[in-house]
Amino acid sequence: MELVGVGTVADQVAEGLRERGWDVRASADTGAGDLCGVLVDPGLLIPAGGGDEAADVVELLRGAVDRARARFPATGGRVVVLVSRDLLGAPARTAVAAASGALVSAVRSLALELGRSGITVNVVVGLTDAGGDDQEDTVGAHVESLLPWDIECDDLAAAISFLLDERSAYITGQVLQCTGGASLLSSLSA
Amino acid sequence: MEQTSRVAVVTGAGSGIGAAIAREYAAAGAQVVVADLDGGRADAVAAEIQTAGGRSVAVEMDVTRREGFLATFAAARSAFGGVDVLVNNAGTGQNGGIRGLDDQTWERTVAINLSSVYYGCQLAAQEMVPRRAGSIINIASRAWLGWYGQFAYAATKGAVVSATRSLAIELAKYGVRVNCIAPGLIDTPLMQSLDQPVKDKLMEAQPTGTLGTPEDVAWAASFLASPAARAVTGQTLYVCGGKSIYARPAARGR
Repeated sequence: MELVGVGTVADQVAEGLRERGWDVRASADTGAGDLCGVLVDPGLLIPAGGGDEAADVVELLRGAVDRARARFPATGGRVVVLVSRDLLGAPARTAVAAASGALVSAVRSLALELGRSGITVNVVVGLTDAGGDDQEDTVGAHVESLLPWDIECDDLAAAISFLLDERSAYITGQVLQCTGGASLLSSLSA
Repeated sequence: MEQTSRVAVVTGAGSGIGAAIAREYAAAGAQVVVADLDGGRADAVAAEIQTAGGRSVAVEMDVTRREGFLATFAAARSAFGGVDVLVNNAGTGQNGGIRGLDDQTWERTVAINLSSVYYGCQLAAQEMVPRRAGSIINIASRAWLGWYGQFAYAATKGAVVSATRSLAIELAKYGVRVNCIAPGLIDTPLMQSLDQPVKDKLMEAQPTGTLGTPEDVAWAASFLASPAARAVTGQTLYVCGGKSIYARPAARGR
């Protein structure tokens, strides 16, 4: 499968996918029909630098999907997009929130557009490391897993691997929250 | 997905989605309690699992009674030592407008689809919290988003989604995960019994243009019960061919 992404999260997720038997490649060097899935990671789980994350991510996704379509077999393929739980709203991280929300809407649109072609498009949501920002007292500034263990990159890889599997053909346009319950209590997470 | 040495209780496992989940878990290494109102069907599925080399026991169970769950959990403890995974799958459908809905149908739908989840979740929590581990999976329905003639069915399934989210929050700190699956159109005897024009119309509204299978749902249930989903709790996982994104209601005036 092809991995489109940047940063350390993408690298660690790729490692987790390789451990699960996926042949992960970073560039488009597969032939027609050889590509089974695409992971799009725009790097939204990395602490934001206040940049323009929202500007280019949908274009990145669209481009990755367009390139992949030519190389998926006739029966279809899998696209998984990794976004941040900040999509539910995150103070001082509006760019990451907006980029994540935009990608969810784009994924749902692509799922409708590509449904009949056997291509599924889904989202995996992870937690953005908030780091030591100055919004500590603001509602929603810091979100944590409710479970008594940390959420690791390998957990994201496990969820991505599930959605990439050929048996996940009937799951498309969905948002899988890998946040240990940190997305609950939001009207956008049901 | 790996389920080795886990003990799973699946209600409504004598046929359809429940049977597929029971088979999937057993094939992945779990020990499975096949519970169903129809004892004969439960026996058949458990026997099939055993023939395939798996470990399974059958229990005749009425999910509308607490005693049914008590007996089933007791059977699980006796046969396999406890319960690691509970799948509240047993359910009933209701089709028809609210003007024709009678009290008996309403109460029966609530009892089978919702009270069963209450009994099952409560007993599972008592079993799992002391061990600081466990997974509960409730089978809801995409129909909880609302649909024609689905007043009772959608209301109870919506309650299952809501209950799942509340319980996920309550049990998270104990390491017990609670999720639900919302299947869309699935190839079951009910679907097969519909008239062809009705089936055609339903399929037209499917983004994937395909009908799901019980095995599609079982695959999702296998993921949610497995260590691969250790970061996932409170999730409503739609297995619906994308229909939850948007389904166009019928034209005005119909």
